[in-house]
Amino acid sequence: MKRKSYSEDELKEMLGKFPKMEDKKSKEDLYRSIEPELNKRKRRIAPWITPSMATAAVLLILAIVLPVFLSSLPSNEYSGSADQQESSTESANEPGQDQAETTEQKPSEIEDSSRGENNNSTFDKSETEVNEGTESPFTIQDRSPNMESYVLPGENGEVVVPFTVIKRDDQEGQKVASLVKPENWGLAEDLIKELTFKIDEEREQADVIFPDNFSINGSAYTSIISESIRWRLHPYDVKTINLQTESGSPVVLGNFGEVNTLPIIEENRYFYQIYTSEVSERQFLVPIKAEKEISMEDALNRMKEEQTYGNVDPAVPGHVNFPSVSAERSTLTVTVEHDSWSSDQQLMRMIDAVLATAGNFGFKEVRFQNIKPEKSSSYKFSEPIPVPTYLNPINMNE
Amino acid sequence: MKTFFDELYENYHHDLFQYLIYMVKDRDLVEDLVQDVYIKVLKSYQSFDGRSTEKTWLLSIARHVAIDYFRKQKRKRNRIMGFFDWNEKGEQLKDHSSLPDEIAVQNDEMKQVYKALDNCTLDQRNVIIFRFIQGMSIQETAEILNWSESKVKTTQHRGMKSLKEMMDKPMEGGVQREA
Repeated sequence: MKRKSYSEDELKEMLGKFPKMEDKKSKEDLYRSIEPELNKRKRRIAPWITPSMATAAVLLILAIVLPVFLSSLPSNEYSGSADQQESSTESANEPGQDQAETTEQKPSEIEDSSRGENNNSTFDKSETEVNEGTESPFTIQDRSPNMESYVLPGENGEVVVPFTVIKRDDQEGQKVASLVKPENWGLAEDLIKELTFKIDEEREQADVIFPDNFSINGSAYTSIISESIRWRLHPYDVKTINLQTESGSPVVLGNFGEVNTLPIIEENRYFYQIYTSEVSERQFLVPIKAEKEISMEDALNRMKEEQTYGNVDPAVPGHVNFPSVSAERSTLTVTVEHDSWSSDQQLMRMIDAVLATAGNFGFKEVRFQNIKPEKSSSYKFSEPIPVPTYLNPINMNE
Repeated sequence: MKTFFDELYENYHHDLFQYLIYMVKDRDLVEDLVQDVYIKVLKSYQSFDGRSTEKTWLLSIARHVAIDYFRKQKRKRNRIMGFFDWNEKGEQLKDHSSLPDEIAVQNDEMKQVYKALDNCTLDQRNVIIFRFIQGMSIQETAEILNWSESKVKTTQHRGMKSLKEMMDKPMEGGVQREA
């Protein structure tokens, strides 16, 4: 029996015939096993640091404010409060001690104390103003030349986050792409920074110019770029989006192939939820695309859904129901049944998300019925509220 | 996240599974490694710069996951070797790992090639799996491994030489056959 040596080609042929091994675990099982790990939020600092720092900050503030506050009180108030304290605690302190301390106040301190009173009243007033008339954190009703819309992908690339940069005076003329800070805001790398947008609202069209060497691969990547372009142009009066390269050729957009135009954002397809990242306290309203056209009522209910996307939370709390939704011309009327709000912010998030969603359904304003309290920090619910022009303002002055 | 996962799974899961199963040859272990790969991929989506294809990006992450596994194994083995008397008991140890069903039904030559892969270095095994079992081009293989094409060719040549040597040894794993 003779043994023949194998040639390289024979070995290659045998390797090529190796059987296809099938994974016996189903796709659903696999996703279920990785999902908890994907939703786990990384703890970037030791758990004790934040409470410790907060406590230290409170103590420091108390150490600064309390002596000033106590010394600035008029003598009668101070003794009065001390008397009250004494009677309530049945302290053994001699009443005369307080008197003595009060009479030791110098004239300058008394002057300061009256200034302190004024300051307090100013503070109260400004606080009231904040409560009644602050801008919403998620929406802007008006347009201004120093505002420019932009879009970045969410951290994991499943959503696009449209936002509005409010430029400082010295930033006028700067490309908005040079001002964005995705890493600070918990968003992913800018995928459209190399593109030039020429928006002509008179002709209702926008030209998006790609560099000649621009190339992308993969359908997920292509889809995010296309959604980013469409949302970037959404706040403007644009009906046509033209794409071309610097040299005027059609753009090759991954698996879309050669593309000359993109459709604008469709109506009746998007509802809004809240994007939150672990790296930033900033939250954003994000459009979530429904699989097909849906009704406004469906959209409101879907805003309560938990998404499988990381970082996206429902905009409508579980205790809220919408028993009646009706439309008259461009006004949407929504009746809101709810328990107590956990915070004014919870209410604001919902209101802004509903306003933005109503905007996608072609409404110009929304009347909220049955909401208590009757006004929030930004809105009075006794009147219809206009839908926003821009979303997620980021003020470069701050 | 689910949408992106669905897309990756539909398009590349088979390639990913094939690569890992031929690298580590243990179905249970591969299931764990597959999970690690998807977690890494889905968590680092933003670092995907589009310069490579999704397939080569996914497989390069899979390669790193496999390398990490082998490194951990090596560390574990080194720790154990300190306590083990190889002279007395080493010969009693035999490889009891059974062949996967898909390989067990193949002819002897195929079984021997499958076993002979273990004698290649990790780099050689990577290249042989990508090039000949998965049928990828030299360019794709170079992208996954982040190597130059000439390094892929050299490693491929050495890997095939090593495989051939193993197959040609009749007593130690080679196959005897008629000329």
